[in-house]
Amino acid sequence: MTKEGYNPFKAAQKEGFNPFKMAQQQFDRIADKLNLDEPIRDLLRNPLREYIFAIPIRMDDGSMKVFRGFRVQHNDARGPCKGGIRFHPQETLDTVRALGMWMTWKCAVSDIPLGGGKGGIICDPHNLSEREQEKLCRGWVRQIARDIGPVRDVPAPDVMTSGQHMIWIMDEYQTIMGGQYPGLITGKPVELGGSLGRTEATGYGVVYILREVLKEMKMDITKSTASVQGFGNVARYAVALFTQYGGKVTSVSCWDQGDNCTYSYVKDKGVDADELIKITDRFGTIDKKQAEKLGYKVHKGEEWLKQEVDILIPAALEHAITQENVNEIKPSVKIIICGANGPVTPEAEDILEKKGVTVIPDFLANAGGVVCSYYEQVQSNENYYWTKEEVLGKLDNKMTDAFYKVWELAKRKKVRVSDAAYMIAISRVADACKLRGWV
Amino acid sequence: MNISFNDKEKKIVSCIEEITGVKPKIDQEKPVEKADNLRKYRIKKILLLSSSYDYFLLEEEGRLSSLFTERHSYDESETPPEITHIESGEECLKLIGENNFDLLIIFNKPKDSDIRTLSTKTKSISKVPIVLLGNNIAELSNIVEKDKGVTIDKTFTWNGDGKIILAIVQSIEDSINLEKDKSIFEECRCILLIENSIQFYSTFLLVIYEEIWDFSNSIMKDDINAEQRILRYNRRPYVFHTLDFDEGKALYEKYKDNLLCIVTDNQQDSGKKRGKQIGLELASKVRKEKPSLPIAIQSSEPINADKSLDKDIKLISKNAPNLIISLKYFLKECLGPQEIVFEDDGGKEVSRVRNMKDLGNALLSIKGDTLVKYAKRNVFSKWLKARGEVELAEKFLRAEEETKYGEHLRKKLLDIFEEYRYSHTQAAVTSYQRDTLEAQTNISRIGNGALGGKARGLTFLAKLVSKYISDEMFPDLKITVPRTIVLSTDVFDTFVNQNNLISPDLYHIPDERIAARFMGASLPATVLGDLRSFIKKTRKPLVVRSSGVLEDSLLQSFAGIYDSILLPNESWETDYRFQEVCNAIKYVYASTYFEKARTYIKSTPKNIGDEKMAVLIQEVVGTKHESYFYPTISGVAKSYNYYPSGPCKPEDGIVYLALGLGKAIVDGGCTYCFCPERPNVPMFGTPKDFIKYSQKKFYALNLKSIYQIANRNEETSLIKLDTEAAKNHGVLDKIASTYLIKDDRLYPGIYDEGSIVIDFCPITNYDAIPLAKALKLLLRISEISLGYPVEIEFAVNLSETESHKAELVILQIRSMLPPGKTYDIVIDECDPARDICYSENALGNGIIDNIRDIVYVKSSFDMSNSNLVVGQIRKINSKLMGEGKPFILIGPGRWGSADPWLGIPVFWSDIAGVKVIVETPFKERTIDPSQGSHFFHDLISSQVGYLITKGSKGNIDWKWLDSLPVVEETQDVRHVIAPPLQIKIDGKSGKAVIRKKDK
Repeated sequence: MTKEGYNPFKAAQKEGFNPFKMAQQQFDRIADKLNLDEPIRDLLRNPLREYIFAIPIRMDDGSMKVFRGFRVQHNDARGPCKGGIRFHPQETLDTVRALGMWMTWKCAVSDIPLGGGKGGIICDPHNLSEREQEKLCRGWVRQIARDIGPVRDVPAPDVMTSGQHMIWIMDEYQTIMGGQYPGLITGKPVELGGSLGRTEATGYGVVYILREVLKEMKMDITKSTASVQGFGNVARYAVALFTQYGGKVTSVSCWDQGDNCTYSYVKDKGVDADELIKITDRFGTIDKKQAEKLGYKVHKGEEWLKQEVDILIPAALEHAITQENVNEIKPSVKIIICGANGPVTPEAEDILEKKGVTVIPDFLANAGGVVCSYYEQVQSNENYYWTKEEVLGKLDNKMTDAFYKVWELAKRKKVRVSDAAYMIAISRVADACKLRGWV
Repeated sequence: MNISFNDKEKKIVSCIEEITGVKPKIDQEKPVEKADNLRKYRIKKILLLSSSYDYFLLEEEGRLSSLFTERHSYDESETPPEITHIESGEECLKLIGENNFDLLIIFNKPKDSDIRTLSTKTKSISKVPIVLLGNNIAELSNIVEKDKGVTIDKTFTWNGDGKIILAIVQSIEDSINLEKDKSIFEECRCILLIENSIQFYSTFLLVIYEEIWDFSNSIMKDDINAEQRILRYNRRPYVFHTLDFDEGKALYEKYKDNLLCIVTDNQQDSGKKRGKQIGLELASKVRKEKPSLPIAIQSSEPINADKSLDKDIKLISKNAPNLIISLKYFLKECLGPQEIVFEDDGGKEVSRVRNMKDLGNALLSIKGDTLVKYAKRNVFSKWLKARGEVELAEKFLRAEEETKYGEHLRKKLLDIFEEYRYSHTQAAVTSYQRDTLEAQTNISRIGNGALGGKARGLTFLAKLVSKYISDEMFPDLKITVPRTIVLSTDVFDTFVNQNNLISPDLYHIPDERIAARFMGASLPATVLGDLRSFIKKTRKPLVVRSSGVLEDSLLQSFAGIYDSILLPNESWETDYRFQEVCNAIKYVYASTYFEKARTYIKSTPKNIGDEKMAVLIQEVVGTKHESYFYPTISGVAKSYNYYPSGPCKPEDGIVYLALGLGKAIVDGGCTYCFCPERPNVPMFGTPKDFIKYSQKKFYALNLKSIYQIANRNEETSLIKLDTEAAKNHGVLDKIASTYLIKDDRLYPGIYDEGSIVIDFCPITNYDAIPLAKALKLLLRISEISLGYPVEIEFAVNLSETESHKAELVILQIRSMLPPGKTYDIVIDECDPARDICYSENALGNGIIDNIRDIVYVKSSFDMSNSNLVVGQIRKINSKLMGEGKPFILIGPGRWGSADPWLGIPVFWSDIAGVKVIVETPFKERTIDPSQGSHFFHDLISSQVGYLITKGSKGNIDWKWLDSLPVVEETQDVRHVIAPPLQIKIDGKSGKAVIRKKDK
């Protein structure tokens, strides 16, 4: 599954920005608050293991090409590593290290027994045929098979990888290992061991958390309004569920492949996700003319950010809200809940805090996806598959519990929600390491 | 407190007193009424005279509109005040003359007028309060001095904070309400501010009102409904401000029992007492009378306090940089504790109470001596009063002062607390909260749509019980409703729509396929989390029932039309139990479209599209015995009895009782009945009759049963047990007697020798539990409240130990149709020449004309074929319904019986087109008339005449019937056409006749 409109390496390209350094700085700040000692800090601020390897492939034209692959296992004290495999021509090790670390915190804050990892292959799948991509996937497994597995490291789809890639990976692994290991990988199609509810999980997870935030802030969900950045998987299901609860979404946005820019689609009466999906192409671009016919006002740019609403849900790009544009947010906005990864910069968050806006961090808000992946892993390992009701019912309870622990700590310690989430995540991992006697 | 009764209330109160001997202590005023009595005067329209720049300051910088909206957020019925802005004095005078403004604020001098001139002219037109707001203190003081309060009611300085307008509005409201609100004497608290400096009191009032707002906000975080929220908010403290010490003293004298604190200046700037430390004098006086009343004295001059002055009196310098902070701290302490922190003897925190839920937990968990320690300081009652829970605070105060011992105190406080929670949660349908205290019985909803008929009825009953019935009326019996979750109708809508379940073929496919289609779909994600949370906490068996919008509404029965599912809920796996409940819900949804329902709805004025389905998930009432679950008693009580006997009148009602689950009553099996007015009048004549007709078997839920919902076979989840099993479970003591053959007598209770007879004698004759009285009371007050006869379904759990009360749990309430006007129907004796049929045991009332179609079961019919007859009758019924022809149905035995040997086992939908049913005796066997509840109920609600004939008189003229032209004939059933017939039924006498119409 390809994340909508996400250019993960844009940040890395911006003036030498290093996401791993940023992740370590975030960690250091929280480690100070927690008074963690030096050995545990040292252990947690760096990955436990990193694998870098070559994948030689015979291309369709008969030539040989050697690709480079990575797998970074940040920490597995709480359980097998979990994290996606991505294809990108500009992947860097520092980005992967940062993402692996964030996965550790994401799994810990949602209290699932998994660690964090990430990996991928430096390549551009647009330039590869399907057969070449299959060979690449199988080649990747051949290199790393000893070090991944249902009880070691469980990959999943990520940028420019999909369920099909996962199936090739699983198939190759099973051939090598000589058995059925559906629990090796998550993000599989439902027919081959994927979990029901996975498609909705991330978007629904955002709304489960939002629902509880609104309760805590004594805001009636049926009278609340929201504006959403993005219209991919996360945004669509978030809009659908929020509307089902009685809320109103007045604006969504999407990247227009043709015009190479963003458009916002505004409807004061409320966005209907179903009608917009019908006029969205496979690249995620909404047809502007059709949208206008349906009563939407189409604006070029980030109009979604300037809406007079109670809630903003950035669910597309990182760095959507920065120091530069944070003051365009209307005073009516009380909550920003991060459906995407890294949509609010730390500087913007400082300003938002001063304005009294509650920011729910990405690794808590969008943890629905990884929690559902965990459920897929469990079902696969048991070879027993649950109904959608069971998956989503468990997901709701899990996300709600995770939220309340974070919220309670934030209120008690009088810290930001994001800091409270980090504190819980890091202390859980640190405790696990200590219990194991690693430090 | 003045209580106004209307007639209905008076009847109910008098009925309660007559039956129980106890006068109900009804809190006549509901929270919403109490809230309305407070702060009656509200400023709704404000005229603001200012320059456009000053207005900009208020609106943009001060966010005036959103501030007002925020302050009115707790009470949706109250809108924020409307502000009209004008810029000139001339415009002001014009508008004042034309409109009823509640307040005029003059913000700085208008460009075209002198302030005093303007205010004088305004006062000549209207009595509207005038407030002056300005930047220039000297100018303001000058105006005030000249005006002397004649035209300008109050003056404030503008300090850049838009909240000053809020403070102005609240200050004016408080001063006017001071005159009007008598209730403040009883339950409201006040803050007295004595300060004549415009600059200082402008700031102080702003701070005081902000602190009150913050405190009010913090106490709204309890799980309370909207009405309670408004009441708490309206009970926030009043603020009385005076410029003058003498007036301040007078206010103190008047309101000293309600004062929270006094904030006073120390000196007056003018007058006889100028220069004297009047504030200190006042404080000393107050201290003598009210030693614990907080006082803050502030002054720009040094305060020369005597050493003997109470150290608790706060002295604040107006020149200090921390003046505002000091005032805020003082006020926070005065407003009351937001939290109670319990510490042990070592000073370590053991518990913290932030809300009502925490209070309940603390009362359970903290040590007895810690409780006593805090009770001595009235910590609980003060905390409750601060939250606006005045009534509860009074009860706690009494307990704090009267009870000295730890565990006694705990029990007393817990009883009071539980009664409070019960009265608030019992009656209201609250949104389901995952962290609600499990002990509380209440009805919760998931979803925002309608609740449906059953849920509405249950809520109505819960409110009735909560309002009128107290523990002292029935000390040995607790009357309650079962723990219930209602999935409202919008969940049904979302389920059907998001799964695209409605298609044209839905009305033509078999029920099993409809069920499979529905159960293959998924419930909406909006309910799954709450549902799962509920299932996780609930281990009792559950019943999943329909609660359709059309169902059990005023005049439409629908009884037994939709499916209910009984779940053992026994598995240790939460996931399994959760999935069972999800499947059950979907099955109940599917039953909306089953053939039975479709056919039934056709016979009503509604159509299938009108139906919206809510679902009730209720804990089954009962106790576990080995692997069975059942209540001691199930019952149905009716306030009108269509078959009165002996000294009992129809209006006395009737109660049916059975051991075990209520299926025994629904199916019309052997059950006991009695008249609630005369419970000790025996049902049967002799002990042998009791033995013959009493219950031998009873229904229980088999907790180990395994079944598939789609192919649901009720037999596998319900089991019929012998009464001997109940004896072994020890449940028969209060509901059975023992027959001793040697005495030919029944003795109440269980003895080792003799046969057990379920006759409920210990209850009906010896009042082992006051069940008869309780049911009589419930029937009567329900009937008075609704205005028509009612039927109540209930269950009773008798506890195994004497220390626990028995529980009477009300499951459902339905209307019985009123007996109707009795026509003056004169029915002569039987006239063989004209009469087809005569009955002295008839139900219904009225005259039905021009029926020609008769469907009857042939006299050659054998009861062993009764199942086969159903299909034959159904086909003819469908045809006649399609042609719009009502008909008379004649047949032997009990129509609608579940037992095919007792009668034809039709469902109501099989004969929905019938207008009159005639039950004939079956050969020589007299079968008790149809009492099967659902069937009987549908019969009544469809206004179908019902005649029972006996062999001795008025038997059917079979010869005549057999001679009529045949329209259709099957093996056992004949459909014939008769000349036009008239049916007369006299509801009062119970006589009826079918005769040929005169030409």
